[in-house]
Amino acid sequence: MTDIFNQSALTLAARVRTRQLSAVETARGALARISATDGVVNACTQVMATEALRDAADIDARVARGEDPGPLGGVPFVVKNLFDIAGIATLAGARQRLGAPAAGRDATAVTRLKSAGAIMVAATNMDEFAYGFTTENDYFGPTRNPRSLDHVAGGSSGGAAAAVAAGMAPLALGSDTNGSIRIPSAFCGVFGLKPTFGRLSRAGTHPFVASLDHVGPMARTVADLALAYDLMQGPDPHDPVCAQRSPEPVSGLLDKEIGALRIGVLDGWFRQGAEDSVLAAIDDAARLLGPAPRVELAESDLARAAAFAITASEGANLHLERLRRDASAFDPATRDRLLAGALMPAALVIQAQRFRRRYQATAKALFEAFDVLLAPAAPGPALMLGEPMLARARLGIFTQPLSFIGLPIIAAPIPQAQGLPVGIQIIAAPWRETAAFQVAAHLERQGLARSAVAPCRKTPTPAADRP
Amino acid sequence: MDDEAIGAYVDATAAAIGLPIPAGYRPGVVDNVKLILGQSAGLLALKLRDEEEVGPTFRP
Repeated sequence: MTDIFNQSALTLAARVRTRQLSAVETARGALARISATDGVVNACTQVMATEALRDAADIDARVARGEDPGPLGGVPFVVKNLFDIAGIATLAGARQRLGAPAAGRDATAVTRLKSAGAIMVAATNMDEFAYGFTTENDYFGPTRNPRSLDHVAGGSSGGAAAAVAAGMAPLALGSDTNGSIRIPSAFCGVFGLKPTFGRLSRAGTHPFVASLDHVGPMARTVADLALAYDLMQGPDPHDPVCAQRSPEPVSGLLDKEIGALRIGVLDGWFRQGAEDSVLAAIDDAARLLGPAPRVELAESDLARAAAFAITASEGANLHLERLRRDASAFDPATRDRLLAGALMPAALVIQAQRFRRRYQATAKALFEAFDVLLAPAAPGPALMLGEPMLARARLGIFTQPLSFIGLPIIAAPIPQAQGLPVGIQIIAAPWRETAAFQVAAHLERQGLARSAVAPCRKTPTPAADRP
Repeated sequence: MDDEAIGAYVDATAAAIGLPIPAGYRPGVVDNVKLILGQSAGLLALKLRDEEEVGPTFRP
């Protein structure tokens, strides 16, 4: 029998539903994998063994009674520790929140996955208050890339991406303000979805930048990513940003031919400063998708600057009282940036917010001629641990302009013959996640975009470890 | 702005909003203000049309 930790969410759910495997066995499998790998990876900040085994026993009881355990019945998942989990403090990666009151209820996204039968097994590590791209957390320690332990996992949802790559769970929940799902997905070699701004409820998540925050899933297959996304869709009165839109499921549409989709490759800003391996991955994807001309999304440099300024300013204002009280309580990696953000002139921040409308109109015009655009996720593969802050902040140059206008994007992992994977962004028009999913599924079927469990060793994963 | 001017801006703005900047953190704060303002020069210089307004999410 294949090890439980290698299996997809869909496979595990099917086996639990048909009683080939119990939910308690899947939960034990996930917990055993965490025990075997998290000593070196450091993805988890809290393992919920007791709760996971209790929830799994409930699923098994439902199956025994002949009830449907749900589409994710018995499937383990992990959540970035900025999602509320009833009964424990929501850390948001911050030492100063260790004594915070326990959350009274689960975040909406967590509730929706649990309602579908999924078993939460752990909360995962992140950059403090989600302000970073590497998950080198000063207090909780760095999360290491399961495909090469000397490298960062990416961030800020680094623990979540690393847990999926390491096989601790087939599914994870992360958040993305400027690239925090897409960068760690690319670095750890997993699929990640940042949906349209407002598509998925953020209720019960610790905020970072209210005007830019998104939540989304991460997984090792497009089908798992789609199922998790489908199960979390729908309006939520507890999140004022969450759209009043009925769910538009994508799971049944992944096999649809992509022939009718018009594909473009973003040029200019989105190719400058990218390493050759990343550009080659984009060009390989473009070849598999038929004619894919290069197109410019004008003023993307300004969009990145605007997202950067809004993030610094809004993020700092969220923490202003805590910064006034004791700046030394913050992680050194976020502290000076938050203090600086608090001092930004209003002229810049309002200009940045107004520019958002202008850049949105530019993108909208582009999407009249294209359904899907391709761009790098990060300038290259994962950085080594310990790079200076400027190199870390630069990781978001290709992700920041696009989340700034809330476009739905799948980060797809492209394994390399040598070394670590790179990631590409599959970008669709607002509310057209389906198109991004169809392209991701096509690239997965063609064998270009793919993920597998990493062995969690110190050297980069050799080709033999990949599917 | 040069480092001295940015330093003066940091001190004055921090005082205006009642945010103490511990001396040990001030060089890092000045560096970050310089970084953000530096990369925002093009954005600040941009002439936006009057109808290019902030995108509101507040719904009473």
